[in-house]
Amino acid sequence: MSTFGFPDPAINEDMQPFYEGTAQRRFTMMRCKQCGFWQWPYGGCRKHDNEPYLANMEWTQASGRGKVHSFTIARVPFNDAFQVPYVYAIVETDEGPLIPTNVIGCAPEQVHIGMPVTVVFEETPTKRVLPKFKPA
Amino acid sequence: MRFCVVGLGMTELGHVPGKSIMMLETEAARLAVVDAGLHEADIDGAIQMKSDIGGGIRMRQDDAFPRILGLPVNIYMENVGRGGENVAKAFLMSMQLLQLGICKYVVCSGARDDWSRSRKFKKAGRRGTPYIHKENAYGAMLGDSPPGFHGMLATRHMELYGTTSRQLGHIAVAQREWACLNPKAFMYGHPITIEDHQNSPIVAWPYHLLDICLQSDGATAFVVTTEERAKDCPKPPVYISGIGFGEHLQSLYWEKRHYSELPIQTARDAAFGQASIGLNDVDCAQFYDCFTTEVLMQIEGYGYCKIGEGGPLVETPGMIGPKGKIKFNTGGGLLSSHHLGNITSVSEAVIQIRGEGGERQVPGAEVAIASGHGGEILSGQMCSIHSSMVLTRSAT
Repeated sequence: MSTFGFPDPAINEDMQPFYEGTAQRRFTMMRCKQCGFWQWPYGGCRKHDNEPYLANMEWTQASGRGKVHSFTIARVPFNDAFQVPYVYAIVETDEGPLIPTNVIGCAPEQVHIGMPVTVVFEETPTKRVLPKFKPA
Repeated sequence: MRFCVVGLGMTELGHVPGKSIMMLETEAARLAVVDAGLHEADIDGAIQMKSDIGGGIRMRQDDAFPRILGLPVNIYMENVGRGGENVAKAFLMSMQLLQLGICKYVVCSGARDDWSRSRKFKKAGRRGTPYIHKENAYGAMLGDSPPGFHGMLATRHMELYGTTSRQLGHIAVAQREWACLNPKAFMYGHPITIEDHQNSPIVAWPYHLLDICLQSDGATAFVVTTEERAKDCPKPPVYISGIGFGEHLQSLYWEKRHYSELPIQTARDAAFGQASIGLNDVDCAQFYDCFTTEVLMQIEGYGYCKIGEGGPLVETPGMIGPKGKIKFNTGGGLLSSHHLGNITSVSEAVIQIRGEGGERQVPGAEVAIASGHGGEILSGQMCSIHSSMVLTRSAT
């Protein structure tokens, strides 16, 4: 039983579609309708003038594949909602954007930079679905 | 028009239970005003440097240190800064207020109660650090922690350049040696060895406990005024000769080098350019050192060696520490003295330029640099900004 409870993120309007996607086991990132430039999290296209409210960007299903860009292995629990050890990582998606995540499905010691990984969905105690990654 | 730091006020630093943040910054402001040879009635501008760590924002509209202390200010700015660059922004604003004639003397005060707050959290079953709850897509729900996300920089640097934990340990040891020359440092009298570093528990691999900064209570304040008025103040003026900034926000989230370099270049070029100095002119550097890798990246980024060559440099005998060639974090820094963000680096730079360093004084220090963070660590609002300041004994 966690004293502080699971730290469910405060989600604003901009990220709502992303979590609606994960709830349906879809991993989406923002993509420019004109040139296919990918962004995560929400953000504008760096190659085109952006339309009002980034209207040229849309949440689009991505491959869900990538490789570990960097990581750390938590040995001390900073929140007792989490069981150590666990891997906190940044994954470089095949599409380009980096995303913070946990690498699961293998021993923490096996994780290394450059390791190919694929998305897997995990539900939090608060019933939110988060994209995590496992060895490909 | 030139501007100087003429007052420095530092409260007790370290574990200071039972004092509110506001009382701490009030006391630091009082000490700075006294140090500047002024009276409360002389101060017409006040800036509160943001007291929360990282991205947290604490509402501060309930009261303010100028009222508590009785400063007849005509402007008070609060929550200045974002994460580790607070003094650079506060000085930038002070200089503008002085330049426009809005103020004659500006006091900038900043406090933290991180240690006391972390004790409260610990009692409630949570370890380590005051709670940061980020919005949206970032780390809290993934179990992040400051060493957990800052450690990404270390892992990456190790992968790219073969840097080792032992090399990072040399930075921790060097700063502890400096702290042992500074009676006000929290770790004064507690020397460490490389073996101590290597044997300290792993908090978030690759970071050992001794790669990680302290958490502190306390406050420090500065009085800033014009060169003309500085001549009437009792302490030697410390010239603010250059200020610059760099931002990872310019290309957040997909620029890979963000995890192996800090955005130092534009900050350094602007600050060094205004001051007309080069790296060879720098007598001591006060780097933002929340973790050991940040120091390594600044040794590289400021040009003491090439990017990626910091590891071999710091383990070379005679390069760092009090007897070393490169004098940095001469008070012990965040790792071994106290943690007030970049207030710690700026106060140490002021002390060195004034020649008040006692046993740790760098002989004849004329030019100091003091930096603020700059790591893009999975939350754009946090520490993606690097600040660089050049503080000098004379007008450059």
